[in-house]
Amino acid sequence: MENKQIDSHPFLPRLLFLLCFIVLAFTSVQLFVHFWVLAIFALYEKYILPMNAFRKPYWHGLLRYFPFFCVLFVLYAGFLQVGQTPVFTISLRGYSWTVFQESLVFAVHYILLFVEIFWLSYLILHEKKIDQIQCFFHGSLFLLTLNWNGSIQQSKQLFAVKQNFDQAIHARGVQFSRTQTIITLFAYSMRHMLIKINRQIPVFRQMWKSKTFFSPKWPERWIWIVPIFFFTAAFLKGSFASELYLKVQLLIFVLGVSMFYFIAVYQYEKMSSPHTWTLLDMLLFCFFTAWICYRVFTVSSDFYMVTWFDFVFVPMWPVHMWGAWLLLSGSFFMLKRGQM
Amino acid sequence: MIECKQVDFRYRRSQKKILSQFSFHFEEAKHYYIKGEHGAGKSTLMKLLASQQFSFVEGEMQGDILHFIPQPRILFFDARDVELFFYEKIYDEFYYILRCVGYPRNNIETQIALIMSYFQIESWSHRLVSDLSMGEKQYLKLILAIATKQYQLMCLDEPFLHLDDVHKHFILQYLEQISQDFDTSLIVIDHQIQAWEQYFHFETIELTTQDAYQPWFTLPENYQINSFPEQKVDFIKAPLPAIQEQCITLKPGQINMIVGKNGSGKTTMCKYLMDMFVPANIAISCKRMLMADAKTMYFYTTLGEEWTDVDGIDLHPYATFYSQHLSYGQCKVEMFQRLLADGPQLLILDDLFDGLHDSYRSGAYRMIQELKNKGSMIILTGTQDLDMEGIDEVISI
Repeated sequence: MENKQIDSHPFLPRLLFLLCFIVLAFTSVQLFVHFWVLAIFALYEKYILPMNAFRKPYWHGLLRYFPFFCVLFVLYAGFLQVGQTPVFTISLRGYSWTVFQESLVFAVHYILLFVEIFWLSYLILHEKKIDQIQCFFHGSLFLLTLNWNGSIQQSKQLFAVKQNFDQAIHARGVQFSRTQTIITLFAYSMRHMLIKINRQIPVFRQMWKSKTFFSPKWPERWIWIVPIFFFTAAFLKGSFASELYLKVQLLIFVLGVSMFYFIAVYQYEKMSSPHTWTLLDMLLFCFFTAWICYRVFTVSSDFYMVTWFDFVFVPMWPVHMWGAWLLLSGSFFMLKRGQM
Repeated sequence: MIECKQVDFRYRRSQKKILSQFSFHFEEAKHYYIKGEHGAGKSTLMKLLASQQFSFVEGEMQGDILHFIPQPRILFFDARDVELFFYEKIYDEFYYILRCVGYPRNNIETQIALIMSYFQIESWSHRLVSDLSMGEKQYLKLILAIATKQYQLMCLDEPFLHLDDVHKHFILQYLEQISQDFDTSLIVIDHQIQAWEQYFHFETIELTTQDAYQPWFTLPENYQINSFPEQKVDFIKAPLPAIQEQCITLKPGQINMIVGKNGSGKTTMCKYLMDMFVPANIAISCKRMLMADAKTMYFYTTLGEEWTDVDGIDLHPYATFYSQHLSYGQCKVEMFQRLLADGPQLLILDDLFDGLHDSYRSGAYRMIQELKNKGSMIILTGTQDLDMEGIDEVISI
C-alpha cells in the first residue's frame, strides 16, 4: 500500500464552506438554490475530490435509493398537514384528506435536502480529512475527547457498515430488489452498529477509568454554563421574551462559543499538526461561521408556508444576499488551491 | 492471580451453557494456553477472566471468578473485535493512546519514535489507517495494545490473525522481553500454537465442546458446476499499483494460491476479480468470495434465514442459531458452506485457513478438493504457502 503525504491545508474552513450550502438551501426554500447547491457539489466531486477505483460517483449509489425518496415524498406531502392552499381532497367512506400545496413544496424541499446532506457526507468521507477536526482534551474534559472523537469515529463506522454491506452483496452474488436492499440494509446496519457499539462501551469505560491527568478543576465546572444557557433560552421561547428570542439565542450562542474557545485553548492539545492556517484560511473560517450564524438566526417564521410560485421563481433577494451568494461561489475557487 | 470456582455461563437468548462447572487457579508469572475446538467457550472464558465486572460479555453467570490483581493491570485483546481507531493518521493514534495512559507531553514524541522503530513501522507515521490492509491494521492494533502500557496480565485472543511471519516474530520477541523484564503473564488463545512454543512455556487448559455448531453441509449427488471458458485476467485497472503487473489464468478444475506478506494486495486482487472496484470483464456468471471477516457477510439474524433461497435445503440443522453467537471459525465455515451451495464456478477464499481449528481445516480441504473435481476454479490467499495437495499454481506477490 502507498505511503501518502497529507496536504497542509486545514479542513475546517472547507467543512464550514460546504455546510454553508446546506444552511442556505435549508433556509431559502428555493428550487433555484437547491440546483445551485447540487451543481456546486457536482463540481466539487468532479474537480476537487481525487477520483480512484475505491469510490463510485455519488449518483451511482443514490439512484438505488429512489424508493426511499418516494416513501418520503408520500409521507411529507400526504401526512404533513402544513399550508393553506389545497391542491386536492381524497374522500373515502366519509373520511376526507386534503393535500396542501405548501406540503408538496415542503416534501420536494426536504427530499432535495436529503440528497444534498448525503452528498455532503459522501464528499467528507471520501476526502478522508475529517480527523483534522479531531482534538484531545485532557483532565476531566477527557470525556469531551471521547465524545467528540468517538462521534466522528462512529460516523465513519456507519459508512464502513454500508461499505461492508455492498461488499457482502458482491461477494455472495445476491440479487436484491431496490426495496429489499433498503430493508435488508436497514436491518443489517442496525444489527452491526449495535454489536459494534456494544463492544465499544467496555473499552471506552476502561479508557475513562484509566485516565491519569492532572487538571485544575475550574474549567470543567464553568463549561456546563453553556448548555444551561441554551436550555434557559429554549424555555423562554413563546413567553414574554418571544420576540427577542432569536436575538437572545444569538447572544448566548456567541457567549457559549467564546467560553468554549477559551476553555478549549486552555486544555486543548493538538495532535500532530499537518495543516498550517494561513490568513486566507482564517478569513474564510470567520466568514463562513458568521454567515451560518446569520442565516440560522434570521430564518423567517413563515418558513413552512412557501407556495409553488415562491419556490420555483428566483426571489427578489436583497443586495447583501446576492453579495453573500457571489462570495460563496468565489470561495469555491479559493478552496481549490493545492488540490488541482 | 485469578481463581475460577465452578463457573457456569450461558449467553443471553441462548439455551446452551457455554461453560459448565469450570474451575481453575491461574498463578502469577506463568503463561497459559487455552485449547479447544470452535465454540468450546475459549473466548468467553477469556472475556470473563479479563474484566472484573465481566463487561466484555453479556449473559448469565454462576460460580465465582476471583481477581487478585487490579483491573488496570490486565489487558484484554480480541483480534476479531471492532476497529477502535480514533484517528485517521497512525501517528495521532499513538499520541492519543499514550496520552490516555498518562504519558507526559514532553516525552511523547520520543516514546512514539521508540515504539515505531522497535516494530519497524517508522515509515507508517504519515500513513492513514483507512489505507492499511487487514493484516497491517491487526499489527498496528496489537502494537497499540501491548507496547503502550505495562500490564501484569495479558489476555490475548487470536492475536496473530491475518499476521505474516515477520510481524509475528516482532510481536513474540517483544512479549518475551516484557515477560522477562516485568513478569508479565500471558493467557493465549491461538489455533496455531507452534510459533508461540519457541518463545514460551505454556500450561495448557483444554475446554471441550458441548453440543456446539459443527460443519454440516455435504455436496449433493446431483451437484453440478457449469463449465466456463479458460481466460486470462490482468490487473491493470486495479487500484493498487503493486498488483497491476500481475495476471491470473482462470480455468475449470484448478486451485490457485495467492501468497504475500501483509499489505501486498492479496485482498485487493480478490475484490478486483469480484468487480468490487471496476468491472473486471470476467466471463463467469457465478462468482463467490468468502471475505476474511466472514461475520460481515451475514444479512440476517439466524442461520436458517441465510439459506431460504437455496433449493433442496429443507432443514438447516442449526436454523435457529444466531449468527452473532457463532465463534470466528464457525462463522467462516458456515458462510463457506453457504457459498458452496450456490455451485460457484469461481470461488475465492480470502484467508480461509487463518484462525481455523485443525478439525475444521481438514473438512474445508476436503470440500475444496471435491469442488475442484466438479470443475470449479478456486483461489486461496494466505501469508504463507499452504502445505496442501492439489494446489496447481502459487502466485507470489
